[in-house]
Amino acid sequence: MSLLADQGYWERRLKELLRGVSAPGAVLAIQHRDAVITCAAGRANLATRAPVTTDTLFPIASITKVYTATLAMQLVDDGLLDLDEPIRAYLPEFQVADERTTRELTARHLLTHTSGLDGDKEDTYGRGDDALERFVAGCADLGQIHELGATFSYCNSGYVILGRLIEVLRGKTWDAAIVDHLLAPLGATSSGTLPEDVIWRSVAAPHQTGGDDQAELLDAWELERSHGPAGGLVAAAEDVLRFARLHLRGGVADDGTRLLSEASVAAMRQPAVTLPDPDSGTTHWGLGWELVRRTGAPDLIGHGGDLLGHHAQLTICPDADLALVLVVNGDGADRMADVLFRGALAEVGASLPDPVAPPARTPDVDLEAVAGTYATIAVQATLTPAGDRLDARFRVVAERIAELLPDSQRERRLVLIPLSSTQFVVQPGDDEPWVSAVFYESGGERYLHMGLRAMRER
Amino acid sequence: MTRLAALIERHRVPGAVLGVLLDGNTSITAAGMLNVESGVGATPDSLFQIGSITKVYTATLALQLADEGSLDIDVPIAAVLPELRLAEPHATARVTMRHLLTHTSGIEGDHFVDVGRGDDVLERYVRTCAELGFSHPVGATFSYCNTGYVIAGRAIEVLTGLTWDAALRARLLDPLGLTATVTLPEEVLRFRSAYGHTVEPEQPVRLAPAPLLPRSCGPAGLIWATAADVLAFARAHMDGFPALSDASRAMMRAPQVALPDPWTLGSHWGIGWILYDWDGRRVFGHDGATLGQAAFLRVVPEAGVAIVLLTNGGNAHDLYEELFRELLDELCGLRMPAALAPAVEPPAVALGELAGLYERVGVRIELADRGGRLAGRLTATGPLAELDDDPVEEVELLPVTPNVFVTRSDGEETWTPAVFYALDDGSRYLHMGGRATPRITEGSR
Repeated sequence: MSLLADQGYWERRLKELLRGVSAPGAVLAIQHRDAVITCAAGRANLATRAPVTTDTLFPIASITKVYTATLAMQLVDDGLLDLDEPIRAYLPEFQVADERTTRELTARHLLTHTSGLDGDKEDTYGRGDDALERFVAGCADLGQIHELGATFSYCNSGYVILGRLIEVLRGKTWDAAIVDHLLAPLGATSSGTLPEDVIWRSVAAPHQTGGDDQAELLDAWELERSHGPAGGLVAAAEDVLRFARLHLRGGVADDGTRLLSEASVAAMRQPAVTLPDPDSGTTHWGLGWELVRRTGAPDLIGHGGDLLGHHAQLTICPDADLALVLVVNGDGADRMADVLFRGALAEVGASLPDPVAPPARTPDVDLEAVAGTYATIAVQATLTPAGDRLDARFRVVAERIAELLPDSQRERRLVLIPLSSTQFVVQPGDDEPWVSAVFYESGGERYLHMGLRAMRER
Repeated sequence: MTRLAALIERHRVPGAVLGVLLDGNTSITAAGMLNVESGVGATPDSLFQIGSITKVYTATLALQLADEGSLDIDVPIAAVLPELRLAEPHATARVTMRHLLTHTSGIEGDHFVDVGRGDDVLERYVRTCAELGFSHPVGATFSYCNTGYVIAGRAIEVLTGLTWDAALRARLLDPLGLTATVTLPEEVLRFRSAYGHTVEPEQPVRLAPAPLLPRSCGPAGLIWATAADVLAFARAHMDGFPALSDASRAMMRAPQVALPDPWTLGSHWGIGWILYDWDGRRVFGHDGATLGQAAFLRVVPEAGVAIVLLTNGGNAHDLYEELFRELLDELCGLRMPAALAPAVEPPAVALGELAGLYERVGVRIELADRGGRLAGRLTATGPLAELDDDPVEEVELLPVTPNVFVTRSDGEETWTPAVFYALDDGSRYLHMGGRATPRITEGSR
C-alpha cells in the first residue's frame, strides 16, 4: 500500500506534530488519485472541549480566493466577463483614489494581485447583503501601494472588488453565487460562508498562543462579511478536496457535471506574474492560484489561508494527481504543513521549495542603501542598520487588526540578516521558519517585499 | 438516570438543561442531546434559544432608559419613532412604550418578516409595518404582541444610538457579567449550542426545518443563553442590580393588566414579566418558544427560588408542567394550580353564540357547532406558516364553563384554554394562546 493511503500513519504523524505546537486541533486530508484519507486530531474548542472530527468545519480564509477566482472564470466561460476589460465596464460607479487605476483596472489585475491597490482595507461594512456593494462604494479614497500593474502585492481588497463584480454579473450575493455555482454542484454540503449556515455543525473555534505558550480561545468571530470573497469560506477539509478535484479533473465535478472549461482550468495555473521575492515559497501567481515552478521538480499549485486563529493550506501536485489539505485552529500550522506536505510530496517525487536560512557568514553589504521606512495601510516597518544587520520595527497601524491582536503582536521587533545586498532573511517568531525579505525597485519606486506584500518606501 | 433524563424521555424532549437557584446557590443539570442527528450531548454550559424570555431583557433596557430620563413610557412612542406608520394613524398616535411592553397596544402581534441580517434590520422592519392593523383598540385588552417588542427594540436603538444587540451587550449583559448570553450566530459559534426539533405523534423526533428566526425578531425573541446566565438575570431582578433602579424593577413585576385567560400564561402581565398568582404566592417569569426550542423561567422572589428549563423540542410544555410542579413543591412548598380540564358535567352552552370566523394576522380560527360539539379549524397564515408542513389543525373545544373551553393537540397532555369574552364596546373576542382574536363574522360557515 502506498504511504499516501495509510490512514494510520498520517493520523499518528498529525497527532505527533499537533503535540509540538500550541494549536488545539487539526484535520489533514490527502487525495491521491482516487483514494482519499482524512485524519482528525485534537480539540475544536478549548472552552467546550469539543473534539475535532473529520466533519469539523474550519474557516479556510484566503483559500477562498481560489473559489472566487473560479467563479470569475465561470463568468468568462459564460461570456459575461472579459478579464481585460476595465472593471468600470461592469461597475460604472467604481472609483479609487488613483485616476488611472479607476479607469484601467481589470479583473486580471485583481486575480493576479497586480492592481497596486492597498490590499488590506479593513473598514467594516456590516453583516447585511449589501456589504460588498458598500465596500466598493467605500473605495473612493483607497490608495495605491504601487502603480497599476507595476509589481505584485497580495491584495485582499482586490478580491472583494472581484466578489462584487461576481454579484453584479450573477445578480445575487457572492454568498449565493458560491453556493449556486460551486458548493452545491460540487456536493460540498459541509461548506458555508455565513455563521448561521455553519453553527449547526461542528465548527473549529479560533485560538491563539497566550501566556505560558498555551493556546487560548480567541473571543471573536474573525470573518467580516465584506471580506467574504477574499477569505470567508468555512469548510470541512474533505470539501476542500472536492474543490481541488474540480481542478485536478479538468473542471468536472465528481458527478460528471462540467463547472469550468478546460481552458479556464489551464489559464488559472499559468504563470501570470513572477514574484519579486523568489524565496517566498511561491514563484509565480496564476489567476487565483499560487504557483511553484522550478526546473527539475514537478509544478505545484495551491493557496494558503491565515486568520488570527485559523490557518489552512491547500497544495496540489497536478502531475501526480495529489492534493493535500491541512486546517488548524491555532498557531503552528506552518511547521505542521511543512513536515506533513514534504513527506507526502516526497512519495510522488515532488517537493516544496527549500526554506531560507541565515547565512553561515554574514556578507558585508551597504545597509544604509536599504534602511528606511516602508509601509502598507496595515503595517509600517522601520529599518535601521545595527552592526552587520538591520533592526526592524513592524507596527500594525490598521486599528481593526490591532484591536484583535495581543499587545505583543501589535508591534514586533525583528532582525533582518543579509544574504546579499537585496535579499535578507528574518525569523518572525521563536521556533517559526525563517522567511525571505527582498528589496527591489519598480517604476522608480523602492519596495521591500515580505509576506507576499510590497511595502513602498516612504 | 437523573429525574430530568427520565422526564425528557417521557415527554420526547431531545435535550434539556435545568437550572435551579435556591438561597443564592445555583445548580445546573443537563440531559439528552443537543442535536439528534449529530448525537452531541447537552451539557450544563450549552446554549439554547430562550425565545420570548428575551422580551424581559428588552423591557429591562427600556426601563433603564426611563431611569435615565431619556424615555417616558407613557408618552406616545411616535415621539421617539416619528417614522412609525401603521394602518390606523389615529390609533398609532396613541400607542406608548407601556402599551408595547404590556402587550396592550392592539397592534397585530405576529407580523414576522425577514428583512435581512444587517444592522439596519429593525429600522427596515418598522418600515414594513405600514399596512399592519390593530386586532383591538389601543389599551382595550391584552393580546400577546411580538410586533410591539420589535418596535420597542427599534426605539431603544434610536435612543441609544446602538443596534439592539449592542445596546443589550453594553447596557445589560456586560454590567451583569453575562458572557454566555448572545444574540448573533457568529457569537453562538464559541459555544456548544442546541438545534431545534419537531415531534409529531408516532413519528421519530426530527430536526426543525428552519432553526433560526429572522434577525428582525431580535428584541422579541432572539437571545441564546446558558441556564446559568438566565438564572443570573433572574437573580438580578430578584435581588436588585445597579443597572436598573429599584422602582423600575418593582414596576416590572407590578400588575399592569389582567389577562382574559388567567390559566395559560399567568393572571397578569407586568412590564416584561408574566405574573402568576399561585397558591396565594407571587411568582414572576416568562416562557419562550422558537422554531423547535422552548424555554421556561419561574421566580418565587420571597423564597429566593428561580427555576429555568431550556429544551430543544418535543412536548416541552408537558415536561415543564411536571417538572416545575414537583420542584416548586419540594423547594418552597408551593403548589402550582391544577391545569384546567374539561368539566366532568359539561355545562349547557349556546354554541351558536360562539361560532364564527375569528381572525388576526398569523391565524384564522373557524368555529362551528357540530351536533352540540364546538369544532375548531385553526389555520396558520403568513410567512411562518410556510415553514409548517401542516398549517391547518382541526380541534374540538370542550366546555369548562359557558365561556371557557379547553382544547389540546394530539400527543399533548396539557389542555389549552379558549376564553370567549367581549370588550366594553361589545365586540366579541376569543382569547387563546395568549392572543385576543376578534370575531370577524358570526355563525357557522
